[in-house]
Amino acid sequence: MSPVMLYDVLIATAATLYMVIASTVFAIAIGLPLGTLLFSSDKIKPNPILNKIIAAIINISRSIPFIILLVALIPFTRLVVGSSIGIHAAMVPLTLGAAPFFARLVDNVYRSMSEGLVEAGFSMGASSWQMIKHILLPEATPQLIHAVTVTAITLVNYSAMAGTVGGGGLGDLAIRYGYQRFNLPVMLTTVAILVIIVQALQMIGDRLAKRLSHT
Amino acid sequence: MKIRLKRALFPPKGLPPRSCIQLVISMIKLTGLNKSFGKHIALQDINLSIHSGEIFGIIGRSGAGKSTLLRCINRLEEPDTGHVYVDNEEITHLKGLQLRKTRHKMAMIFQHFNLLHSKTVYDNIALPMRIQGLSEATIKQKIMELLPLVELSEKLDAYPSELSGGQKQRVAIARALSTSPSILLCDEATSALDPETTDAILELLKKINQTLNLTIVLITHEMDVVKRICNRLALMEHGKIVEETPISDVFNNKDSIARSMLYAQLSPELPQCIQRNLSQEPDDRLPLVRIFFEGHGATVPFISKTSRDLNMDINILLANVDRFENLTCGVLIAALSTNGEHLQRFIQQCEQHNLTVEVLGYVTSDVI
Repeated sequence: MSPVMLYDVLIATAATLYMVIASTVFAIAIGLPLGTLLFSSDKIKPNPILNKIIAAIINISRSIPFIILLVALIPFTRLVVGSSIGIHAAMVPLTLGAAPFFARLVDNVYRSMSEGLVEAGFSMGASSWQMIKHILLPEATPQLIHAVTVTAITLVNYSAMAGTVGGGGLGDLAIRYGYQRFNLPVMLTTVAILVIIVQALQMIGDRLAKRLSHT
Repeated sequence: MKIRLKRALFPPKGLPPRSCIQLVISMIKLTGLNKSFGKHIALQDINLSIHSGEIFGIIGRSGAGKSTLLRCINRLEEPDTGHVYVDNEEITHLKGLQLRKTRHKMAMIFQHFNLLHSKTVYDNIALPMRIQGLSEATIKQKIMELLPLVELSEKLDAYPSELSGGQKQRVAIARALSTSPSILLCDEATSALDPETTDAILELLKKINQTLNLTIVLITHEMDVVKRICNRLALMEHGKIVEETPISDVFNNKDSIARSMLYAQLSPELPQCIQRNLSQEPDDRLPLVRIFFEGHGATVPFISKTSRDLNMDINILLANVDRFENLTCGVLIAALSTNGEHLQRFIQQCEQHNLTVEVLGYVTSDVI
């Protein structure tokens, strides 16, 4: 591999990491409140209409294949970022693709918690917000970290697809050099780097969750 | 507050005069409660009054509706019809902040403790106080006050996973007491604990009932728990209260189901070797009888006297004695040396002395 090629690989790796980390953060920012609202509208302060609306939004957006979402969101992306190509443009569909996925995971995490905890909170006269702040979030933290790990790894996958529509990053590199120009070393290198990124994310997530878990 | 002082001071004719004046203040009153889950009827016309400062036990099998009943008191369950009064205030239709404020006056402990695993003992006890918005200084002071009572002083920084079941329930009790409630609701609080730990937790509940004048409502399926600490009990079956009585009156009522449950719990198991050889046919075998006695129905003079009068040997195989409030009662299983007519006369003697007797069966003499 030439030094120029190596430089391209490094740049692409940095771009992928940047895309994944930033869109994970945005996906959490949208997905955590959405998932919490989905759970609380069912179990804490029942509101069947709100619950069904949120569930519908999550289900519909999760059923759209990511590659279609990527293309369908182009006008919206242009509106937000000002361009439909490049690393920042890719972050819009990545965030919107991962947020409902993360919201569903958050809901599942709460559901796997003992119902008795919510009951105990009610018996203490906690308000909905107190229930979330004092009981749900602290008790779910280790499981929520696992959910973040799964989401980040899914975003590594999605970011490769985003590369095909000009998003940049390792996926873009693998397709342009590896697939279209039959450059096997570049292809293998990108795959190896992706494997390392996924392994690292999983390891960091597991360690963090373990440190915060007291069970 | 509705005080039945007049009745206590001037009992109406027909009622025996009370030896001491009792003030009965109603803390919880339930009237006409009904609740069903789909087709399943959980509560049926429940009327109940629980006095201030008493320990009230609700006993019944699982599925009898006692858990639903307990949860109607703090409105974790909504009754379909009926009224719930706490401290003479109707709370049946309270919503939002008012309901939460009412719940601040009550506390609840659970079978599976429901502690937060992510928080230390300190933070678990602090939780309801933080929910009520107390200052951290007040919280710390209150926790330091509570720790000796629940004997947890060394475990302040431990996480629940490092504690035993009994210690977890102590944390839950401390958490419940932290906001100085006037009512403590116990949902099968000792059912997940071993016998010794159960004893200790019951002692603790009794202690806090006396020292803090806390009204305790507990539900359980174990007669042992009720008999040990409750002042009054209600027996539930299929969503209905079938019996409600002070513990001390249980033995005065021959038809009481609670009484037969107490006896069943008191009665020792027959050893396997006797159980296997027990026959319902008299033939040449010896009768095995079970006699329940209570209070002054003192048995030993009765046994020896009857033995002389009827000229028979009474061979005591097993016996058990217990105390409920101020009443001693017990059970004994004995083999009689003769059969037929003598057995009938023995049963008559027992009935004359107000003892409950039952013939368990007949065994050959070599078994015993």
